[in-house]
Amino acid sequence: MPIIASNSESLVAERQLMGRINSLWLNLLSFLRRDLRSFRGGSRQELPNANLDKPAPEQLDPLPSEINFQKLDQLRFRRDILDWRDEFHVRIGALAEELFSQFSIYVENKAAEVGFFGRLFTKPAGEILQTPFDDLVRVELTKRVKEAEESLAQILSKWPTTIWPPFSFTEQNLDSRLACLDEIGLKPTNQEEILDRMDNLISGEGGLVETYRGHAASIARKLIQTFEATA
Amino acid sequence: MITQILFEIPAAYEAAVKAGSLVQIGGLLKNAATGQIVAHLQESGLAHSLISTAVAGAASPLKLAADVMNVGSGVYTAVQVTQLKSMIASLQSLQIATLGVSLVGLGVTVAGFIYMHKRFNSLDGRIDKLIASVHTGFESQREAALRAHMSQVKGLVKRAKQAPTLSRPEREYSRIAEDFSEQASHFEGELEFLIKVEGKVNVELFWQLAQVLTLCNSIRIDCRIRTNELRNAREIAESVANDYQMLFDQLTPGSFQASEGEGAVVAKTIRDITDAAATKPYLIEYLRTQRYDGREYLDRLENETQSPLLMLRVL
Repeated sequence: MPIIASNSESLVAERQLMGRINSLWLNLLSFLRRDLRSFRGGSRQELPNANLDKPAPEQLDPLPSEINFQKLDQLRFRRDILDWRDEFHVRIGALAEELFSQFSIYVENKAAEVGFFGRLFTKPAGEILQTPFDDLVRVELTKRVKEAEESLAQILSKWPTTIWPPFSFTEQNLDSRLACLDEIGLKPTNQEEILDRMDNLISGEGGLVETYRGHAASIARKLIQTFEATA
Repeated sequence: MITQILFEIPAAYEAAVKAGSLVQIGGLLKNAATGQIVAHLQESGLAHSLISTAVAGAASPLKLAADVMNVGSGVYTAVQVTQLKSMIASLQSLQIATLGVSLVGLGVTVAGFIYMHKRFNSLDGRIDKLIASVHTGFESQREAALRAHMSQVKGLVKRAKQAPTLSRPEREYSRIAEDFSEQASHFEGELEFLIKVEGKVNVELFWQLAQVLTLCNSIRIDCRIRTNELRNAREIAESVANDYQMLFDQLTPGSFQASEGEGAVVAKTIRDITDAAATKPYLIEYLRTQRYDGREYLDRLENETQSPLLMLRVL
């Protein structure tokens, strides 16, 4: 034990001596590194590489934001509603085309069934075609409209804090008794004219599809306005 | 100045977007739970060089994707094809529906003016042919005015290209931004006319004019960022976004002289463009509040050689 103690004392003394030598050596090095100009006038100047030891430039805090972050919600809502409107636009158009083509086949078959006397004394096409038109076209278009209402309700349910105005489509009974076919009899020679008028009723200017699209656009506009007014 | 700009690659965010924990709105990603903005999508100079090589003259947004793929082997190097494909894949993974938006800028437009010059030339050629060959409702006086404005725009891009050689380019950039503002108003008026004129809108002319308008506005903003007028850049970006909403929201897939399918793609593209414009002020505001130097930000983007799209992480 004493041997160890004396060894440890001598180790401490040795370390202290080494420490002093190191310190002297560092001072000497620092003296030798001084810029000669610093000896003149006794003024101390920074070493050429002293800026490495300078503290990093102060990190400034971020500036306060001046932008309205709520507008991002408006943007998202707007996009959802416009996408809904555009999708309805495309789907109702595609459906109308499909339904018209089915209805055309029906009209063709019906016209072909008309016998010799039937062709001489034709029944008004509107009278014969009203119910099939309702079943084949109107009902299907209304189903698509209901689907659109449901998908819109789903979108709106994601924004529960807003009180929404009524957004149902208006029931569309445009030319409910097919007055556009009043003076035309159902027979093969009138088939083209009948289909032209029906096509116009479905997809023409002011027709069923255009009216439904107009409703969708007006609903979309109203909802966006409501959201932006209450946000 | 806080100079550390943290860019990441979009792939780092794709899984979270797919899983629904991040929501994409225009050119930014938000945390679905907290509503905080997590990152801004930002195109780099590489995106511009890739796009301007061949696809700027695409006739419509629908043809754009096909053009991108078809021109691949002929015009691009193998590396560029890979970069282009990865850019398209990133846009799709981030649920940006259409490619058209990539032509008009995601985030701040890095208006590498050499590429811009090429693009305006190509647009000019197309518009010229279109108004000559299609009945577009343009009277000869309007045609002449349109041509004059296209020339002025090209002249402005030339000036912008030369501006960095000035000893103090800031003043020149400011003047260019003002002049582009006038040009943008003109093209906005032309688009408004095209939309309001009776009948359906000619898709190709609409698409070319829309590109000119959006590029003019992008360069206006770019010039303000270059001069570090970030607050003003944000104001301009906000007003541009409002204008786009007023102009484009009324358009539906059925507004165009095209099949419903093509009309739907055009409608989606203009929605993406409108949303990207509407989120641009948030990116600029972020740069401003973080005290980023506008010039430095653009330099970083212009010098990017690996990734056409980057994400600026929000700290």
